[in-house]
Amino acid sequence: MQSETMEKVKVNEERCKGCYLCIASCRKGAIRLSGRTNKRGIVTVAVDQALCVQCGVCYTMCPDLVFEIL
Amino acid sequence: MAKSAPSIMKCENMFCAGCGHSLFDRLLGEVLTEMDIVGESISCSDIGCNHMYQYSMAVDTVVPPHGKMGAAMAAMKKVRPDKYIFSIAGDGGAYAIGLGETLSAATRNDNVTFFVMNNTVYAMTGGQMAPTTMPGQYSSSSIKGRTAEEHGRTFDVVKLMQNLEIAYLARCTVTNAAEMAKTKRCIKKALEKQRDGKGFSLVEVLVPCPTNWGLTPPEAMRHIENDLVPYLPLGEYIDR
Ligand SMILES: Cc1ncc(C[n+]2csc(CCOP(=O)(O)OP(=O)(O)O)c2C)c(N)n1
Ligand code: SF4
Repeated sequence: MQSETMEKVKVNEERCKGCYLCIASCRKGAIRLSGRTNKRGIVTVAVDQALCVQCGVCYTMCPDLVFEIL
Repeated sequence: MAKSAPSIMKCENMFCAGCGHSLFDRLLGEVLTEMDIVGESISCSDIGCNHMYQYSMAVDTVVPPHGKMGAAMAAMKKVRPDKYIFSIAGDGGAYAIGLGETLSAATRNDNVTFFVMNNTVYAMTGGQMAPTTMPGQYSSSSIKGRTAEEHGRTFDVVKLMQNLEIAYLARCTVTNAAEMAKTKRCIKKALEKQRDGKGFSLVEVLVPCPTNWGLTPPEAMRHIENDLVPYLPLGEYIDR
């Protein structure tokens, strides 16, 4: 069984352009602003791995291939 | 289930944040990869924001003049009948400047596939009104909103094509994961029609242009759901 804290989604923050469609789409509320800024000057997103159920909606709705479902 | 970008998406794309073109492009990349036809495909690119797929997607591409994809694809298929020939186009290119070429390819039932990204404006040149612009929609060339009296009625090419003898016609969108899954199925079906020699297929995809619509990306998705879809219904209209 997967532990609550294991990494379920990889986030490539450098690719994020800040559309935040992932935050609007995640039904578990597992995605929020990370508070970090990438090289584009965009405040990126972070996934709460404990809340994530690996449904893949963030991967599907991200136009910039930020997410990899592990 | 593990999910990662198909290797055909070779680098970051150049689209604005939340642009629908990039969502479509990844779906197409997934379908080409799953059907194992990346090397068997030649894309035909329109001019416009939509054309930027060629910088991030590793697929052979021909770029004819703006809007002339219908004629160019016919020629490409004649020269290379062994290849999948498809076009990624904008509504301005496919339905306005290139309407004649698009309809001619359809009436000939050319065995090619047309993907038309309808964002209801000429995006790349600054969001001017197109024939597809919605009633009341503000654009950089309809600053008081489009009216039927002054600008004509919104042009629905999918409706126009419904009586043609073509292989496949569908309209879909990218507003949520369920619609993305349907769109992916439509993309696959359209390419399968070409594989089976059935003839012309056109898939129109309602895509957001948050930049020219003056909306945030989530607002732009809601605008499609609330204002575009009731006027431009989704579905498969021809499937032969
Ligand atoms: C023959 C010709 N006419 C006009 C233009 C200028 N032009 C470049 S992109 C564009 C708009 C494209 O709009 P659309 O096809 O809707 O694509 P989008 O940018 O919305 O993806 C226009 C009019 C051109 N490049 N060539
Ligand atoms: S202007 Fe609109 S269509 Fe063009 S890249 Fe930006 S969001 Fe996409």
